[in-house]
Amino acid sequence: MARQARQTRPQLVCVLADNSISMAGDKAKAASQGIQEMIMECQARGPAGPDRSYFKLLLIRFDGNAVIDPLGDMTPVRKIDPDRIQLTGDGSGTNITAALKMASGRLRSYIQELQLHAERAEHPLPLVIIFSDGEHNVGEPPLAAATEIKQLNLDGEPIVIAAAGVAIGGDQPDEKTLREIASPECYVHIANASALAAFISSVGSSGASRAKDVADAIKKMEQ
Amino acid sequence: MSRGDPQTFDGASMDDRIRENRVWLEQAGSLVIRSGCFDSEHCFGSLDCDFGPPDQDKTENQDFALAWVASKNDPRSIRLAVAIADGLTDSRMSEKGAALACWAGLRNLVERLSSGSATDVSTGELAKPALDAAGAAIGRLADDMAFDPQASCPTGEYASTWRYILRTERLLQTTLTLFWLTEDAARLAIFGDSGASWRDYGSAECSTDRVLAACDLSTQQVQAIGPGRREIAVNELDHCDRIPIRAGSPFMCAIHTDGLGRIMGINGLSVLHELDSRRASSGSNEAQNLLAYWKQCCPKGHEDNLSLLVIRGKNTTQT
Repeated sequence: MARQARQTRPQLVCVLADNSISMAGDKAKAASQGIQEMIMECQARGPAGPDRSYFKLLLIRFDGNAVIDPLGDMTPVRKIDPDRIQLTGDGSGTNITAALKMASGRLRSYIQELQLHAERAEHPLPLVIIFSDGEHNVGEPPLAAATEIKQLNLDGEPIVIAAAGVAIGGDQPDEKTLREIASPECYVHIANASALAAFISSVGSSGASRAKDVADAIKKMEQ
Repeated sequence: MSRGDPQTFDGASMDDRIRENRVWLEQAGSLVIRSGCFDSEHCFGSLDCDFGPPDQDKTENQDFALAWVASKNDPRSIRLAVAIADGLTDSRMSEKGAALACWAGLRNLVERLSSGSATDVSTGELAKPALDAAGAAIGRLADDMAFDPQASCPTGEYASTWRYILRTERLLQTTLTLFWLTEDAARLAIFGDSGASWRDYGSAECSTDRVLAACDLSTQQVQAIGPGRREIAVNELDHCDRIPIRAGSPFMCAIHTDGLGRIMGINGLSVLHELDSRRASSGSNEAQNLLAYWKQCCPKGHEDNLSLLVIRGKNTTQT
């Protein structure tokens, strides 16, 4: 059965945004643009009306710690002013694990709610998007937290993680770890700022629930 | 109309754009707008645009339909012209796009064909200027909105999102179907996913049915006129047809938007059977009656606006 977003069953998109100091400048601008355009695209879906969101946003910024952006705390997208979402790249450290654990905590209870949803069979699965330009360098490694998220499922269908390694201007992201965090074929290497914006906006607004469909969205973005 | 006036991008602006086409068409014949019956010396019929199941995920009826009928003893060769449009669900103000496309497209079609047309011109070549006129009308409205995004921004829309919608031209998009009758032929041109079927009554014992155009239910992707697509090429039309009409031989043509196609499923001829089996007293709106019945049968998850045009050619040999 097709899992398709509707007003009664909006898709939750979780964006885990690297806000460490190495992301400052053009990367932070591109990331901000990507999240803003993702929100605008998601707002444009479905009939007009402030209470008819087809998507919800959970925005987690991470550096050495992780924090949920108050504007994007499971918020219906039509309640979010896109212009108010800005990343600046001003934190120290890169704690991918903290971001994944924070998302996992929210997703665990959310998936339990979806088990009881009247339109469970058609309800889109939450989609997790993460991007980083560096290596995880604070606390325990992130793979266990990523596995926890990918083991969450609705009727046997697991949550998908799409990951991007941001390699702009000589950066060397931990591609090995990010590939392992990502669901199969849902990793992308980002080599320029516009590609980072495109990854966030197009994959985040794709409405895809299944790994194959997310992978297709990534391929389409790359083309 | 002044640009930048906050009052000109809603009803008032649309009224201006429609009025000119409406006045021309009303002076040239008679109109049925959205719902009603028509009757002329050569044909009769009805149309209806129904919102569909009330609890669906829409706020507007994004379908629109118009019928123009030539006056009695009108010497022009075009006797009837109809337009039906289905605004895209995810396109802002597509209900306005659908209405504008029908008005501009139908006026262009009737005006051009009133001055005569070569009989050997293809349906697509005859329809294209009307479709382009529809695209141009929609494009002008979008351009005026983009000229002053602040004034045109709909209530409840964030300014940045509205600018994004204008920039990506995700507004006013619609399908458009045109059908018209001359003395010797019926013509059908579809840009989008409307469906159409035909019944030739032939003899009293035997009628011949065929699906002229089937709705493609396998995909949500559809071609549409819009600010980013103001002109079309003839070979881009989804369907073109020229059906010869024999003098005095009655026929029925049913044209519908894809919402009705989803109810009928793969059997596109259902509408013909249902219309004839339910045929009530003359003058009743059989399109409306059938839609009222069928919207209760709409399969869950496929709720949509429902529009139907029924055109019946008269048996003019009977007295």
